[in-house]
Amino acid sequence: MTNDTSDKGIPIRTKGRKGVRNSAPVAVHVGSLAANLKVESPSSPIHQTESKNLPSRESGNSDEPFTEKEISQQSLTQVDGQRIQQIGGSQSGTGVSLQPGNGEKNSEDKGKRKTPPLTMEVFIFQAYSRKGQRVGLKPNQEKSLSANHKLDQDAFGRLLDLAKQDRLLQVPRQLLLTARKIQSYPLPKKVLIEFVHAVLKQHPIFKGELLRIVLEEDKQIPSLFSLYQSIKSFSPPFKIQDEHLEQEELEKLRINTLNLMTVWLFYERNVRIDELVAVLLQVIWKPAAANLENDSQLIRALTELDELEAIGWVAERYLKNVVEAQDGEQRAHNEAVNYRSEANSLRLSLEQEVQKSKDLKEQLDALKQTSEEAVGALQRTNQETKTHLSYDIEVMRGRLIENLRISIDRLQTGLTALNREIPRIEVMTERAELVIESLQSELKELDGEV
Amino acid sequence: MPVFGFDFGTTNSLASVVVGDRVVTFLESGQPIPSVVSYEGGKVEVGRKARDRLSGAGLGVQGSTVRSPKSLLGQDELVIDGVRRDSVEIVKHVLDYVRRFVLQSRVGRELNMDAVVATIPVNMNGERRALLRQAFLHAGMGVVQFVHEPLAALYGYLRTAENGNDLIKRYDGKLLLVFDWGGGTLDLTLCRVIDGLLVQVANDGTEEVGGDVFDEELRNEIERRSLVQRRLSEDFLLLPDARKRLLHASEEAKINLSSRGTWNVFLDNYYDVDGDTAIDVQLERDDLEKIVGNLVRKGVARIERMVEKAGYSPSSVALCLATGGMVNMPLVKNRLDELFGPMRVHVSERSASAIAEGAAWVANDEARLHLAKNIELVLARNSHLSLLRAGFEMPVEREVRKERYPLFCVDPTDGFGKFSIVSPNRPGPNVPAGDLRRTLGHLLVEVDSKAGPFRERLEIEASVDQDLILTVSAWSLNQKGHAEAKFYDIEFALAFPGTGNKWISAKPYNSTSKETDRHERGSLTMRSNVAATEDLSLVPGEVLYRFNQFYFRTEQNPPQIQVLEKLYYAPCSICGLRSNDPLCNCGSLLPPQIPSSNYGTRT
Repeated sequence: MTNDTSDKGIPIRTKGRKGVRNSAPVAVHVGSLAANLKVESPSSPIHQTESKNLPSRESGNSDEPFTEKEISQQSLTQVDGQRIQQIGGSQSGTGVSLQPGNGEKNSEDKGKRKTPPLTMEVFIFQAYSRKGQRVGLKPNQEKSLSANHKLDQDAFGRLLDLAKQDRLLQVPRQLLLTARKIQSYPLPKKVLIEFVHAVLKQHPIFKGELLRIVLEEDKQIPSLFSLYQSIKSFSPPFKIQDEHLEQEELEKLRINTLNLMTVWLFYERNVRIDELVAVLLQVIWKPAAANLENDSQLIRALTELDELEAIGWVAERYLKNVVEAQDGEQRAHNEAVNYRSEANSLRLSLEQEVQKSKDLKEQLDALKQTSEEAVGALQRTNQETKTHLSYDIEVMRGRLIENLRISIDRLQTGLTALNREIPRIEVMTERAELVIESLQSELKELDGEV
Repeated sequence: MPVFGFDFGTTNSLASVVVGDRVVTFLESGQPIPSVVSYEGGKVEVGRKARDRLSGAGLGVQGSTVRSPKSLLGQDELVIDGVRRDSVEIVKHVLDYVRRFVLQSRVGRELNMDAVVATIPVNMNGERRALLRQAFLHAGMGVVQFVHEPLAALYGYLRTAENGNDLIKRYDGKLLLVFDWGGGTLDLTLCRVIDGLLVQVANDGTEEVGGDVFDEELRNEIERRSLVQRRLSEDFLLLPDARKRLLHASEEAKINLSSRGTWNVFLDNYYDVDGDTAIDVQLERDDLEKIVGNLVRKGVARIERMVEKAGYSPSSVALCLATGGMVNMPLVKNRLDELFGPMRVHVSERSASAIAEGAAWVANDEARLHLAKNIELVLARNSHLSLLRAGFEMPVEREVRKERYPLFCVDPTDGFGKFSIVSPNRPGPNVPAGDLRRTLGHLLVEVDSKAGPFRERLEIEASVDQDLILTVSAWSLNQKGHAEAKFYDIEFALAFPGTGNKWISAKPYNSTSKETDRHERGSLTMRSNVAATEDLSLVPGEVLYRFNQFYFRTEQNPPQIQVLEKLYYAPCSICGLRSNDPLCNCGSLLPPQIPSSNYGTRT
């Protein structure tokens, strides 16, 4: 992870003031403050700067002159200390000192004066004076901050103005990290976060739609990749604070914003760290690695790493991921083999079942056909039997009718013969005999049929 | 859809159909439907009502009533009751009546009577068959196939007999006689079973001894006796319909005297006299014999004559199948028993319906008619080409079957290709060349008389249509000549199902035998000048010599007959006349030839 670039003393050009390097608006602000205050300290950074009296160094060869950078840093420190004293004088409290991440104490102040209670405004002020360096809080400072966490409107405004001057967004990430470290006092934590929220909102880079959505809690986070890409490709459409950003500054702004976004997403939008690492890899680290042209550049980059914990964590994480991936791959391969074999056996079973079902269907069709044929044959047989029975009845009926008709004719003839003057008995006898024979024959026939 | 068997008989008509394994016959009150149409009073009546209007026996028109319209088919328009009527239309009335009767019956209403196998008499020619088909169509029925009546009866008998297939095998090669004696006609057909086919051998028939003639004879005799009894003169008057009623009474007497010794013919209201108007005559069975005995003898004698004419004797008949109402007369049965022996006479129990039922079985089994005898073309030098071989399957409805052959004109000198169509007397495909043949007819087709032998190509086609009419057509391809002849009286065989038609696969007899073919005595033959192959030996010698003298060189060894022909028809070297010309006596003018044994040697 790269450090904030503020340490490298990136010059900030101020319009109309060439040659003067003023590293922080804090100095200006303090300068104006100092003009209004009774500054007991014999030295003020502006005065010292203007008088070209170099302050004493905290470290290093005291014989060499301070660089402008060191002056500005020292001035800032002295101004900060004065300011703090001034502000703290009106308040009760303990002495306040800037706490870098490593917990260094301001040895100059220690024991010299009673530290006033740390207020939120002062703290934020101090944070800005550190220009993106780590900002820490002792437990008593947290307590003090908790008691003095409110920011009135004026103070909020002042701090926002102060934040505007941090065009490269060096400080908000540190504030956010610090806020998250406060465990026991939710109120200052909340105020800090709200402040950072306000700072981001007012920065031009957060005017973009995607970044704006991120700041709104009720909106769904867009794709991290597109979000980070939009930061990476940010190009201010207008001048920031009427000042040009050089390409290098723009690049730093992008990096700072990416890092800030990472922290924000992690803490405020509960994005998982794995996702963040993945998108950082895609958007920042891999493209950066693409710039390495040879092994010596790589060796240099590897040996110039500062935040080794992150590297170690990520490396371990990825190694773990790789191992897990390999394990997963192996497992997946094994599973795949098993599944394949299972699929083959299932396919075989399926084929067998399909074949079985086909055979069954064929059998069913054959049975259906057989049964249809049998039913058809049965129906035909029934119909034929019905026809035969009808026919037999018809034949019997016809025969009976004919026999009856003939018998009647015969008997009528016989009667006519009987009714003559001289009855012809033989005629009647013959006819009667024939009728009787016919009826007997018919009876026999009917008996046989029944 | 079932196909019905339809017996459109001379006296009665009947329809039957096979349902399952039984035959159903549609009888009107147990009786067949009389083939009689009456136009009395402009109203068309068919069947019994029409028959009751008849007053006498005999076929054809009687007043406004037509009996047996089948016999009128082919005649010009008839005038009946003052109205011109077409014979096909009259026939259609009977067919339509039978069809409607069937369809209105309890059994028939579930069936569709659209297709029939129609029986025809043996002597019904193709032209009349075509008219009969037309009449059937008008009545709403298509004729799938025609079948001869005796074949149908025989088929039905063998089909329904127990062990029918065994019977067929038993009768294979044997003669069977079908004897159908009905009310109008006596039909006789001699058949033989050959290779599973029922083949017609000979047939005969007469209307002179139909059952109605018996009734009429009986009526006349009863009337005569009654007149004598009542001492009436011959100019007696009768009440209306008296003779008609007496005819029916005579029929009743004829039937009853079959089973009784005596019968009293009594008919009231017969004479138009005061007092007793009845006719009352007692008859005995002997009387019946005396009255109609000669008719019976006449009828049976026809059997003997036909069998002998066919070259057989009654003893060679293995089965006499008797059908028709008359065979129930003991007189007739006894005579048949005497002729053939009681074991060989089978009187059909359902004699009235035997033909219709046989036709129904033919329809059910889809038994097909086949050609019984070869239809042959006489080729040059009296060999034969079978145009249609025996066993050739006859076409059914809407079918035409044909065969076509290319030929050559062997001797075109007289400008005609001469085709002689003959048929052997022997049934079956294997007929030796020397067997008797019957000439069916001749065709002459124009050819180029100047062409050499085999130059004129000819074609001949023999086809049989659904009406079983044989049409032979011939063409000359060079001269574009054409001739056609129709033959109506070809003979058929009926195939029994399951026996296989061995005639189809039989190898034809070698028809190029040198045997001289024989023709029936008195028949006209024509020297054929067509050939199926380019064989120079077929060309008459005198013709061939004109085109190919080299052929006759000794070293070519030409056939002797051609040499003789050449010499026989060659001009005489002296007078120039043909050597066979009776005016040429030059042979007697030549000095006798002294045979020389020293020819070529010096002495």
